[in-house]
Amino acid sequence: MYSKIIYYNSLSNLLSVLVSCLYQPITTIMYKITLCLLMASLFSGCGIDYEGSTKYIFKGQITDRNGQPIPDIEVATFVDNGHASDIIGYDRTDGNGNYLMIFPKARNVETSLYINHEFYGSNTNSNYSGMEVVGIEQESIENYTINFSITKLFRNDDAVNLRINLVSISNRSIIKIRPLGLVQYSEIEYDPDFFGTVDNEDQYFDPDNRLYYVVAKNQDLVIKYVLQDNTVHDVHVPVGAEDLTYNLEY
Amino acid sequence: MAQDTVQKKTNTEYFRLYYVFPNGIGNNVLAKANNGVAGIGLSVTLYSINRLHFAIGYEFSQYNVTNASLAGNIKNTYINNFYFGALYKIPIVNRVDLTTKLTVGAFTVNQKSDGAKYGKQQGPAFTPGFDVDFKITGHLRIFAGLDYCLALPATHTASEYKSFFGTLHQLNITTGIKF
Repeated sequence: MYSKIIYYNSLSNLLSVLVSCLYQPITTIMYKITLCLLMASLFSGCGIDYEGSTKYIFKGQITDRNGQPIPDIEVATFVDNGHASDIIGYDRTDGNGNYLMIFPKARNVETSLYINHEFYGSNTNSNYSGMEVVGIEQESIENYTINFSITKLFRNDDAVNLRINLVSISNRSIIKIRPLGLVQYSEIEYDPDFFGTVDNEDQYFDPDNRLYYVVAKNQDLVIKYVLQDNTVHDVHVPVGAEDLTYNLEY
Repeated sequence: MAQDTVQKKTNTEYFRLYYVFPNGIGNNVLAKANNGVAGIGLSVTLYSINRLHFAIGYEFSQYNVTNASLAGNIKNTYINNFYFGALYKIPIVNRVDLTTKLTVGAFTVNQKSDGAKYGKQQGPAFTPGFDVDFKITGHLRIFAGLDYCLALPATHTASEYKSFFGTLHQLNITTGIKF
């Protein structure tokens, strides 16, 4: 089994408090036991709720930018309910770059797919880029299955640095921005239509108005962004073989 | 008449306590993504007529998940089976009996990692099997046997994996005592 991100172990807390109670006056003991039981019940309710009889299937293929399969790339399914999180699905790509993860359904969680993406206990391939597919809604899982089809990674020695200067030419500010293409540790929405949905984690606050990315050489990158009036925009940025600075006027 | 009573007592077994070597077979998640660790079982005779016994019992087995791709990133799989069954004892030679059996059970698959639980699957299980016992003294016997268990836990998944999770086959070795 591969490492979990977080799990709550209220039993050890319970035991340690009970042991310490042996040396306390009775009123303190009662107070601590009550507190302890309350904590235990609270934490036990914070775990992720799984439905063991329902099995979801995530599958796909990882290739390099030329379409050649990449073997032994780590792929994981991450679920988070706001209180606890878990790596519930795990696989490494086979010789054809294919991966398959079958795991029990988690209720009321946000689901992400990690591809060669670091997490606690992960074992990523440092020669290739990593990425995360976010916003996988349970409603979009048809026939209990998602086929992510082909995901492309690029070699880290085939990369350049991209600096984006945000240049304001209007009174509106950017509240979300993402480069789409071959980008190191990029976050991609599973459903592109959800890009316009902005939550607190997406709020963009950069005092220097500069963003830095590592991206693959020689590609046509798309930078997508949302302004504070919730309008979605994109610009195409041609990336060559050298480091690049791009002024994004908005 | 006295001889009949002695014969009845010799044929009757009341309680069985046994160790299970769990083993998944076939093309299903137990066989392809788990390794059997250990198990324990016990059963009690409710009623007997000569060599035929009706019993209830409980069996618990632990598996370790060996393939996270197929079984989820989870540490252990646990099997619980509450069963009712019929057993028939056949004398082989002096002190040695063969017992054939068929049980029907309420089967539950749980998956857990340390403190975390991953839900359960439930369904019926059908277990034909046999054991050979050896009389040590009085009613005390030791036995070893083989059980085939077909379990059909409820499963909701894509059709190509329904059987993989919903039709489980086990071939378990058992050994223990009965009296």
